[in-house]
This record gives sequence, C-alpha cells and structure tokens, in this order.
Amino acid sequence: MSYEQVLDALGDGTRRRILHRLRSTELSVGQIAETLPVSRPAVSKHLRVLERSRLVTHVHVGTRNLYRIDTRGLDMLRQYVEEFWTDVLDAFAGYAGSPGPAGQFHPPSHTESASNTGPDRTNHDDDYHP
Amino acid sequence: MTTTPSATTSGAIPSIVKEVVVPCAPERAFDLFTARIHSWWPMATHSVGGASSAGLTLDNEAIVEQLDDGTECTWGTVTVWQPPTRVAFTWHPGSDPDDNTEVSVDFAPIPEGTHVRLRHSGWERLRGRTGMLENYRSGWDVVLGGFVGAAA
Repeated sequence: MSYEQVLDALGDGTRRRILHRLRSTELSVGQIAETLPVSRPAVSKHLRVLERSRLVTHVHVGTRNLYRIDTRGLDMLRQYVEEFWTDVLDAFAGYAGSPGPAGQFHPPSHTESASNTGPDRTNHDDDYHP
Repeated sequence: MTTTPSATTSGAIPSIVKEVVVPCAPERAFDLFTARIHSWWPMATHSVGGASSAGLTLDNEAIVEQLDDGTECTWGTVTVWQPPTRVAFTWHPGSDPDDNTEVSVDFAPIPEGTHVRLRHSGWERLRGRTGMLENYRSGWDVVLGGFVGAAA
C-alpha cells in the first residue's frame, strides 16, 4: 500500500463519485448503484479497488455489506503532502547552509534547540555568490 | 510572523505547516528561496516534468516550471510579494488553476539567522467549490472532504 495506489484509485471518476456518496453516510452496493449510471457488478469492482487502497471499508449488517469511508487512505495522502513540503524545505535549508530542518510546529523561539545550527555554519552564508 | 494559527474550528481542514532555520539573514533567505529557486528545488522528484524538467522560476508574478519541450507550466500565481518577510502564491501544479490551494512562506529574523515557516492551506475552499459545482477534476476534493467528514 502506497500513496501512489491511493492516487491511482482516485484517478477514476466513478470511484471518486462513489467516495463522494459515502462522505456522510454508509451505503450498500445497491444503494450506491441506484445513484450512479453504473451496474451493481461494476460498483462492486470499484469498491474492491477503493477498499484495497484503504479509501473505503465495509461492515456486515444482516445479509448485506455497508460501505463507508476509511480514513487510512486519506491519511496516507495527507502524509504525502506533508512529506512533499518537508523534502522541499530540507532542500532549501541544505542549499542555504543549514544542517537540517527545525522541529515542526515550534514557535521561532524554540527552533534554536531543535536545530543543530552552529555559529560556524554562518560562514556558508558568505560562500554564496550569484 | 504574519500568519495565523491553523484553524481548528469545526469543518475547517488544518493547514500543513513546515518550518526550518537557515543561517543567513532574511534578505538572503528570501532571495535564495525566490530568485534562486531553480538552484535548490528537488526538480527530479517534485515537479511536473521530473528529471527532464528544464527550470523553475519564482518572481513577483508567478511560480513557473519550464519543461524540456519549451513550454511552461504555471504552478501558481503570486498573491503576496513582500521581500524579505513574506511570499505567497496559489498552488495548482499540473492541475486546473481553479482547483488551487494556497502556499505562504514567512521569513523571520532570529539570532541564528532566519526562521522560515511554510504554510499550505485553503483545502476547505476546494471542498466548497466541489459542493457547488460537482466538479471532479481532482481527487483532492473527495480526499479532503473525507477528512472533514472523518474529523466531524
């Protein structure tokens, strides 16, 4: 399981519509199929893809399955965006001469202890010339 | 710092906030982040064109990637340009400009140099637009809408 798998699952319009239907309620395959121009077998197939990507999950209620949003796939995408910006800022800090990122969510007054920046590092500032 | 804390009220989607300290003055940090962005941005892994991408610029108008076929791909439009304290731009790399979120970067002087704070926000705006237009160009609308549903 990876964020790529989640993105691939979301790359299909019908699957996005299915997720949209499930945003506020639990639904059976039949209930989902009623609101989409797609057959029940096709909905079931899409649900399997979404379930493999941890975007939906289901519970057994009597003789049928009720599907609902699984936040694990969403958490993975959120994590992907978080890591995207971590990578970008790390690259920036490396270029600017910093040894590493500051601790996240610390106010500026606390970043001193979260960073290993030493006085000698300021020399790198002078190394930079266009 | 001119940014406000992430909204935590019901229905709001928290911003992504990243911070870093660089050992130079804000003037230099701002210049490196903007005028020198092509020198440090991890293009191979964090761009539309990937390893074959030809360049990236960020000025007082926009952040634009240059592709190897000579075309340009606008990642966002600059909305705040206040050197050396703040730059902000809309964010929609590889997708429709109407599906944008927002990125702001603040540069604050500290004894060790400059505290850089990046905030990626505006997710709830995507959700609102989705609700109105039923537009499914991006998976983010569903994804972030789901976040709100899960957090409620």
